[in-house]
Amino acid sequence: MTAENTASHLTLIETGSQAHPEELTSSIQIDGFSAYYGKNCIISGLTLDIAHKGVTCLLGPSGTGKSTLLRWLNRINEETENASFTGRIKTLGLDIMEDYPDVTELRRQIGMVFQQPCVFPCSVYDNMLMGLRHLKLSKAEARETIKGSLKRAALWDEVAHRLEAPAISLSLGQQQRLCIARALVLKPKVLLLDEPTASIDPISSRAIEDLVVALGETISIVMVTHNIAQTKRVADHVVFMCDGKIVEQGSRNHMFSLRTCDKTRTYITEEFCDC
Amino acid sequence: MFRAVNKRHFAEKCFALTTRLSLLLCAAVLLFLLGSILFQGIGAMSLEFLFTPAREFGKSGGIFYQLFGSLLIVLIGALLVLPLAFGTALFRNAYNSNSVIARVMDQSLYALNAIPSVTYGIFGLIFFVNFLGAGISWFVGSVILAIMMLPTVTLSTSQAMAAIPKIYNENAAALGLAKKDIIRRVTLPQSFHGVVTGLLISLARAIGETAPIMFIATAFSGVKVPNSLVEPVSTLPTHILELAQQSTDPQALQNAWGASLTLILLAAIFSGLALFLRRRLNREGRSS
Repeated sequence: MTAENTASHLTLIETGSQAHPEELTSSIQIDGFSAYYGKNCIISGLTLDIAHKGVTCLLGPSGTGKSTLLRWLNRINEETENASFTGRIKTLGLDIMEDYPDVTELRRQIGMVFQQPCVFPCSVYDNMLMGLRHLKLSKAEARETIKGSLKRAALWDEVAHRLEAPAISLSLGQQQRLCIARALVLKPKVLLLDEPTASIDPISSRAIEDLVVALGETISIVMVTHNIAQTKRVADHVVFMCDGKIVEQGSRNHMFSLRTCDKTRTYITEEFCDC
Repeated sequence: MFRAVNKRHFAEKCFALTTRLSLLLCAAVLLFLLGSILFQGIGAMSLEFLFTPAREFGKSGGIFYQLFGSLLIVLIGALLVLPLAFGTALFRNAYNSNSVIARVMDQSLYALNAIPSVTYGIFGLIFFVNFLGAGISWFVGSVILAIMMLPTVTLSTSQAMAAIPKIYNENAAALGLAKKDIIRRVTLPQSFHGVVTGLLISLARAIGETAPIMFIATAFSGVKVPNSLVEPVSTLPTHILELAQQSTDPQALQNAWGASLTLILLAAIFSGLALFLRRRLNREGRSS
């Protein structure tokens, strides 16, 4: 990180319209959450509320449990061998374990996009249709829903004329936006993004960042990232994690100011954490 | 130092030469075998030979009922093995999350694959023919061939399923797809080439097998199209065996070579089809 960038991270951002987290209604409430792989404890006793709108970035060095936390929010980590957790996670007021005996219902409300763009080996249209099939929509309804989601993901203009083309023929950046559009088609209340720009070029990354900011105005977005500059550009709320614990959290203004604790300030300025 | 480099170069050249010689030896054996069968059998080959029933214990006539019997036994065997192999591979990759069970399953399948084919025949004779009283039946032959094909088809399907990147399943699950939908929309289309390849390769092997079906499913002569499940058929391998026992008769020997060539061609068709479909389905899987 250059000295110029370091300085820019610490510049106090002008106070915007963001509300303090305590004033926001929560879309996700995490209480006493600990996550394990076998006997190995990855996260211990984490408590966190996530606002019902806006972008919450989980920031921190590798191996601190950010992705593990994200993967438990829609129970996708259930698919991982030896993964377990204790504590309680509520989404939109409902316990993700007790109130969702059918996990597919939970996952339809909490969309997720992964680090690696992953399109299915079929057409753009069929990719979009994948999550919609259970709704048994008419062809016209499905087409309209798909069009709406592609527009929302700022991809419609680029793929409108090639909906039947193989999704794999899109660029990586377009593929990742297709993954976001595919998740949006179900109109989720929460969207989980696990380092969505980690494997794509800077220009596509900026397009996705713009998209994330725009989506954050209507739904709750939880994004895992290592990229401090990106966090500064997109986050409304930042949660800094290290060694399976929350070191500090607060609004973007607070987290990129000089008022943070030493550990946070060291990480943001030097991308280093000595936890 | 210079001598050491020369010595290493010499050793590398010797090693490369040994690998080339191994390849040449394998190719020579294969070509000699195929060439002999082609050279000796081509004289007997004709449409009449393929579509005429055998006469005089195979000394004259063709191989129509033997060809029919072989195809019937292996194709019904394939139909029987397909759901079983697919189900086993699906459990191994989609429903079982315990890696120990997966390893045990794999080792068991490899062990099953290594069992000599005559053992399957003896098992069929003891269990189906004697214990269940099924008698000599082409259907029992199909069942035994299905059991014999099971490891190959299961392993091929399982490997194709295991090769699907985990991220596909996670992405599908994140879209709220139920397990059965993930299997239908993601796993099946992307592992279909493995099912087809395994099946055709095991068909190519099974059609040439004599030992497992000799005691339980075939008669050496005098059988036509079976009217029920519990009748024997005649097959190409047993027919070749019978003709080989009359090798002093040039006509019988000629027909044995012809039947062998037919058998080789059938195996080649199944193997070639497996290769073609694997490439095609792989390409479709990537780009469709």
